[in-house]
Amino acid sequence: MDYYTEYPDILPKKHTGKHWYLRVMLFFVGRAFQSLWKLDKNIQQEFNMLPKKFSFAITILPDGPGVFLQKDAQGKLRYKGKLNDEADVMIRFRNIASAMRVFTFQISSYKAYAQNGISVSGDLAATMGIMRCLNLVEDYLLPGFITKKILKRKPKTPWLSKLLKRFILYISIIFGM
Amino acid sequence: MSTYYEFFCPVKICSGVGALENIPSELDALDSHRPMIITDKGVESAGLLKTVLDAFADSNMVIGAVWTDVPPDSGKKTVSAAAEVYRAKQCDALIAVGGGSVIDTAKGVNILVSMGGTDLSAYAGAGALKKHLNPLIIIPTTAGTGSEVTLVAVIKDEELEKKLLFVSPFLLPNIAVLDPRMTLTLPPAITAATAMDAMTHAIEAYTCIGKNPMSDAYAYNAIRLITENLIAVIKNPHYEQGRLALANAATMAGIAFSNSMVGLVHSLGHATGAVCHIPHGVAMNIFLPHVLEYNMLMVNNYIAELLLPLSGPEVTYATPESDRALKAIAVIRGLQKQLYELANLPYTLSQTGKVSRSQFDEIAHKTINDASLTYNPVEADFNDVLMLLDKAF
Ligand SMILES: [Fe+2]
Repeated sequence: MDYYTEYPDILPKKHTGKHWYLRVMLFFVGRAFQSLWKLDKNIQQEFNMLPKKFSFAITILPDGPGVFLQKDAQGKLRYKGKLNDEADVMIRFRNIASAMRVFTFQISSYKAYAQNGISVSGDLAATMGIMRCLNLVEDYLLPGFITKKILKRKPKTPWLSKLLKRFILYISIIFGM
Repeated sequence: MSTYYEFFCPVKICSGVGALENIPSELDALDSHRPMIITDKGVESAGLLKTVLDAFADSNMVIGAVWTDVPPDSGKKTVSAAAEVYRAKQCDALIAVGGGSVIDTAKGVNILVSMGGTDLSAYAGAGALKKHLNPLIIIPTTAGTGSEVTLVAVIKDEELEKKLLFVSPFLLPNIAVLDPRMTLTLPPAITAATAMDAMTHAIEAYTCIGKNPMSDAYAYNAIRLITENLIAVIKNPHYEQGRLALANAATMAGIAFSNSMVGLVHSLGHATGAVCHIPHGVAMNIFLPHVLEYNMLMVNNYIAELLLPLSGPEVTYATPESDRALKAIAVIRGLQKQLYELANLPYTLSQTGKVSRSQFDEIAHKTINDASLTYNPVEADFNDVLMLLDKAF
């Protein structure tokens, strides 16, 4: 008897739609970091405290989309798409499902972390700084009714300045400035 | 409450009068017959090492080596030296007898003797260990840290002057032995401080965002055991049943926080410890009520639920539901006053004599960069931390 025909290997399904959705979301996050680094002084302050050439990445295990950001020689934060290099701080989603829960705003990144849906490696103080920046980035990118749900604390950016920066942010995300 | 959680504690607990005498048969069941004991001078001079060695009488074990040179702030060098002895004497298990530093050292030695090599740094971080280590038995001599049931070890790299963090489920011991003889001689001040550390583990586990039904069960009962026994033990240090209850509570609180993590009290404590060298348990005692007040905004209901284990049914049912959280915090403050009078345990930063206001900025910076803050229900920023430090002064 041929066991291979009788009991065929079953390969896991691929959720192509979810992959593309997450790829787009992470692209926005990556570009937003790069732009907000220039626009928001709190984010700039956080990154100024980090060492030269500092890099951090968000990836989705085992081989989903990701983003990689690094400070260049002048200290500017650059978005480098998805790189497979090990960054100084790595934020890893356990699987596509845990990333989907966070990027469809069903749970906060804190909750996901507490549920072991996200693991983090690298210098702890630097990681805490990145997490604070991520809060600010989410606050700029997302409407208030979502951030109210997923942020433990809303940053106190004055509304007019936020509106302006948001406008610049969306344009620079599209043009990659 | 989380929609998903994970809970893991594969440690066998041997607890009670005569627990030590069961270690040989436990080792035998693990197919080990040449254990090495890791401890420090303090444990030795308190006569506790002798008690442990005596418990091996008439067994088929050979103690391969006794290492008594663990310093208060243990590091890589101690670990390497002890591992060399373990290998030379062909030991096949480790027994840690002591507090946090001894336990972490034993975990470090176990990494080297099980994984091979001489450089502990190679195994630092999370998930670097990929297999079961050699049998490890932990006998805590303080009732507080909960290290006997946690999957982490912190070991100093003396050359780089930085602390290495090791995280792996394989760092959990096979067995934790809780014997009332081991904590009977602990002085009142240390008994009080370590018990308040355990209390903080339980309360933070119950009120922070990693809380889950399993951890809640351990945390809730740990709090009850501590409130029911701590003052009695301070008044009568040789009260054996009370000592055992505190040891059980510390381990239960350890299981709780190892699975649901701790929050802002610990972030403040780690930072104040690093800047001003306040003992961990003292810092926990000082910050606990202030942080609970601060967190009430988000977790009023969880704090309110703790009034029952903190004060018993009469007080709880006499307190309207809406006042229970505040009452729970008041009960903790009452306990603090008693511990200050009976055991001289400070409940303000100024009482420690080690903190000045000029250090607040540095402490606050370290606090907001401490990883435990992630689990706190309210996200504290720099200014909030300064406000809390001010209140605690
Ligand atoms: Fe603690």
